[in-house]
Amino acid sequence: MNSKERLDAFIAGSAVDRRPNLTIVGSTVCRMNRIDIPTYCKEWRRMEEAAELAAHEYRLDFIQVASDLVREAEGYGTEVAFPADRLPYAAGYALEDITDVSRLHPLKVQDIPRLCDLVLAAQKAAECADIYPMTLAVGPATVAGNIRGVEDLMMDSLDEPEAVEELLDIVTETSLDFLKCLAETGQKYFYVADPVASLLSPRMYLNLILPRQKKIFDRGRELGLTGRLHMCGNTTHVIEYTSQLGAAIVDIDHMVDYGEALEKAAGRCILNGNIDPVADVFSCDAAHTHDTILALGQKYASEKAMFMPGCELPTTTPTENILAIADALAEIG
Amino acid sequence: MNVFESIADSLERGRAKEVSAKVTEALDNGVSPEQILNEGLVVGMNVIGEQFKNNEVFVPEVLVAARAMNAGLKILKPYLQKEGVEPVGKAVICTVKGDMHDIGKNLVKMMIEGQGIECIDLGVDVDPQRIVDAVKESGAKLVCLSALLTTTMYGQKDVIDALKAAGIRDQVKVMVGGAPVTQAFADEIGADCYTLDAASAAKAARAYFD
Repeated sequence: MNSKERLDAFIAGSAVDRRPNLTIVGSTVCRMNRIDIPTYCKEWRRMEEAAELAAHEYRLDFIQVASDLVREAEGYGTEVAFPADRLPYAAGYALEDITDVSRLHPLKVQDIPRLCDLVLAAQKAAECADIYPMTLAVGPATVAGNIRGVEDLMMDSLDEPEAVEELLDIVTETSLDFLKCLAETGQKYFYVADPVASLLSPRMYLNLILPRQKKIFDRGRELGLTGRLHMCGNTTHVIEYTSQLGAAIVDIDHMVDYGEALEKAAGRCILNGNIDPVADVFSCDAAHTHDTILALGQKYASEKAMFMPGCELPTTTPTENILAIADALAEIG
Repeated sequence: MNVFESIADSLERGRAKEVSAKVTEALDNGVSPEQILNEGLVVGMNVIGEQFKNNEVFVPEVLVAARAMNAGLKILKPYLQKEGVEPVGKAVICTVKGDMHDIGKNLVKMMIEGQGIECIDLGVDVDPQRIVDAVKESGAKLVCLSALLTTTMYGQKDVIDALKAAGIRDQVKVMVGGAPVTQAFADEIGADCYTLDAASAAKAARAYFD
């Protein structure tokens, strides 16, 4: 089986030679074509080249078309810093006061240069014969957090929920346009990363975030795209809901108990996780990584479950440890 | 509900204006500022801390509670100073070099302040030498270091090394935390304390000064 066949088959519930490897390898891909992190984030051709090389080298079953979480927010006016040695971050927020949200209007992909770049990278990656690209759409809570500042957004969500909803609706429109662009370039898969959403209570998640995330996955389905949700952190309290969003795959981080998550998901989606990216991949030897993945895989081998680190790997994660994940997955079958 | 319970209740609900009004009223009625602090504000913040630890409240609720606490403290501070009420201790807190994340650090700071500890907040992306200087200048006995990123967590070790190099490592306790940080990592870098959440961090901080 090649990666495309493996991923399609596993999601369809058919037999596979081994479970797909959807490890989010993050900026470790920079080592593939020896680019620095700002280049990885700013030059889509170099990013796509690195991601495709990494997918083959690490034996991944997707090409990670993604770099950072601030592309969308940058389009809305957030000042983004690009340090030489780490991923870009919001250095100044577009919205100083949530009640100013009315001055924002939904942007199209064409209005946001680095989002256009991501579509171009996805288009190029789709030329790969044996591995599907999976392109990152940053989730509504995280985009809003990068426009307003996460801490302020959290307080706004209690103080000014209507204004927060307005902001979330605006950024969701951009995500919907982004999916349309992806579909037009022949994509089959996408993923939504929304780490900020896991900071909210279940009630606030249900009221503020879930309707917007659902809209994104619904639109994906209408466009023929299969979605994956990545919400890192402790999402135990919302798995019951995230499993019903319409995402085929829902990632779970290492703080979540896999068994409990499987019970809460009740077979509505495939869960994907959840070893510790630091303790079990970054700061250990390859044998430890291999054994940890293998033990997890053997424990839940009969479930609708995939196995990988629960969150993005640090930039300097040893290559042999990343390869140990693929080795263990081959043994699990 | 007595005055202290009422202040704590408003704080737990994140009502900053209510807390300010109730603290002012209590002071006007001759209630001791120290009692307002310890039996009202601190009690309320402890409740929120426990609820946060038990996943009964989440980050937004903690932030608005802390904002309410600060509103009350702002009014109380001059009265506390006038009465010679000293903080139970001083802590230097920051997010380490290379890391711009501040929510976790701010949560811990708010909880620690809720324990009556004065916090010298150096912000985010802080160079180890600045921390050493702050400890020397303030006489703080506790250093709290946050890191959210796997790429920056070793910055906590850099701070410990800098404290050693400055000859003041044995004068301070170093507490570390952040999403990727574990007890094993804390042990590896020679930190004195690791806690999983902000409420536990505040309790551990208070324990150092008791």
